[in-house]
Amino acid sequence: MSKKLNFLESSFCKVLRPPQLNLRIIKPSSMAVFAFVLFALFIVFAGVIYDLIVEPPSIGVEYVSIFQYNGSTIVAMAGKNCVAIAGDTRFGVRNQTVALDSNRIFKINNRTLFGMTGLNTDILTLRESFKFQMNLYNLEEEREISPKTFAHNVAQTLYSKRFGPYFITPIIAGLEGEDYTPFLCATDLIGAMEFPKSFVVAGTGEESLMGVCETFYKENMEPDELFEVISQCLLAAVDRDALSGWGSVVHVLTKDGITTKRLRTRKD
Amino acid sequence: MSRRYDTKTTIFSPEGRLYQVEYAMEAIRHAGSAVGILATDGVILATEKRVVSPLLDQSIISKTEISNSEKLYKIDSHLVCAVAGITSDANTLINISRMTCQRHTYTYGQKMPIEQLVRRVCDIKQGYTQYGGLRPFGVSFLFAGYDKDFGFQLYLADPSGNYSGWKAVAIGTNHNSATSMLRSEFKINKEQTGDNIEGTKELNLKEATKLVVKVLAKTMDSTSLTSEKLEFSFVKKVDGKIVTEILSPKKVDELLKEHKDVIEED
Repeated sequence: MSKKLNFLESSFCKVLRPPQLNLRIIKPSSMAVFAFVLFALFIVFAGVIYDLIVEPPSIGVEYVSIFQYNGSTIVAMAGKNCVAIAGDTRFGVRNQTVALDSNRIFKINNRTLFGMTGLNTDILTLRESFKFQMNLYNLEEEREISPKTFAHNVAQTLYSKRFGPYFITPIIAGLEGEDYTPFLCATDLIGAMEFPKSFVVAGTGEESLMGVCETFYKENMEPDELFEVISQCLLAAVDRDALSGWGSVVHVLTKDGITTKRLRTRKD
Repeated sequence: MSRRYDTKTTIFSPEGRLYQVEYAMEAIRHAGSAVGILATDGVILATEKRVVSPLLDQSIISKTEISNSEKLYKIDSHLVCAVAGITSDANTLINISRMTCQRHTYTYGQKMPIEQLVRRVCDIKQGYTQYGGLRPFGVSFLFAGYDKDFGFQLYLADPSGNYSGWKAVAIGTNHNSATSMLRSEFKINKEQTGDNIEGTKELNLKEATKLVVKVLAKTMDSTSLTSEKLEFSFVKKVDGKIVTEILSPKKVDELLKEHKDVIEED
């Protein structure tokens, strides 16, 4: 027996070697274990692990608010017995542009134009919802709604969803009354109305728009000049905003009707 | 004998009749008449006004575009209806029709098909003849409209909840004489078709208007036909778009002048 084993030992075991495990049996002190556990809990509860998993560090952030999911910009200005409303026509999903011809400004009647910025699906749904309400209004009252009344309707519709709102910022522009006085109204997503006399801006490009409108706006502009000013303001703002652009449309509303023009913007 | 079976809609009589529903139809027979004709290129509805008094305040018509219609109502941009019977009952159903049309447009993005709307109104009317213990609606409607699947259509909906499509129909007072006049006009003799079947004529809107005026002239109680007593409404295609129009009194007068040869025939 021992001879056989000797043979095995002599041939195989000479080639094969067991690994050299220099094992040391670790016996940490209780303080050391405590410190280790405390550190592990700290990095979990302080949110470090959470941050690394949920939002890994990247260059820039996808979007901060739901209003930046689609991205759009609208501006409306008042002139002398005329109003103009202009907006971009990009439809995008985050940073991907999907369509270049999405319309955000709608004609309610010959005196009222209505634009919305924000989440595109809410824009489309509310468009249908207001068409519904306006059709009934026309049939029952047998006349067209005035811009001011329509603005109140919008505010009420938005407030009815106070605790689950539509993510839009609407702008109403129209000519009110017998003497066609310009009317502008903007509300927030839950219907707080504001009636500015000069101009109103909304959307992802609103900050640039505010600055450039403030500079170039002057009172009592004729329709041609109003068209020039609002076009330049819109172009300046959407060219600076990543989420707006890819084409724009300008409507000028006077007592003779609505003129619509499309402008070329930067395609990026 | 029928006294015992006529106070509730929920009871049949021994002969199998629902007296309340029949009394409702009787209410229509005493109402102002309404005539409708379906033409190849449109539908025309004409009604006779009942409440005509110089004391009525008509000043609003001259100020605004509001139509002064007593018996003709627009339900949607492609659908118009004429009412015969109790006006307040009609108002309720017209509100329901308008809401129904808008809800359909909101959901499907297109105009509501005419027959679907008529069926909906009739289902409501039928409900009031079977359960609830409420009396039926004392209104008959003539619905005229256009949809892209079946073109121009004309329907009669009566208080029992029945409806049918017609080429020409008259309801209200003197509807029997009006109907017989319409039937004789529409009938084509066997010899003329050459097919050995009796057919019906196809009229265009102009001929239909002429026929309506003729029928009204013969069957109306009053002697003169003016915009004071008559209302007209059209559903037709103008420049490829469907237009429903309830004529203003001025336009009614123009129309009656245009066809006055027909009126003065007798």
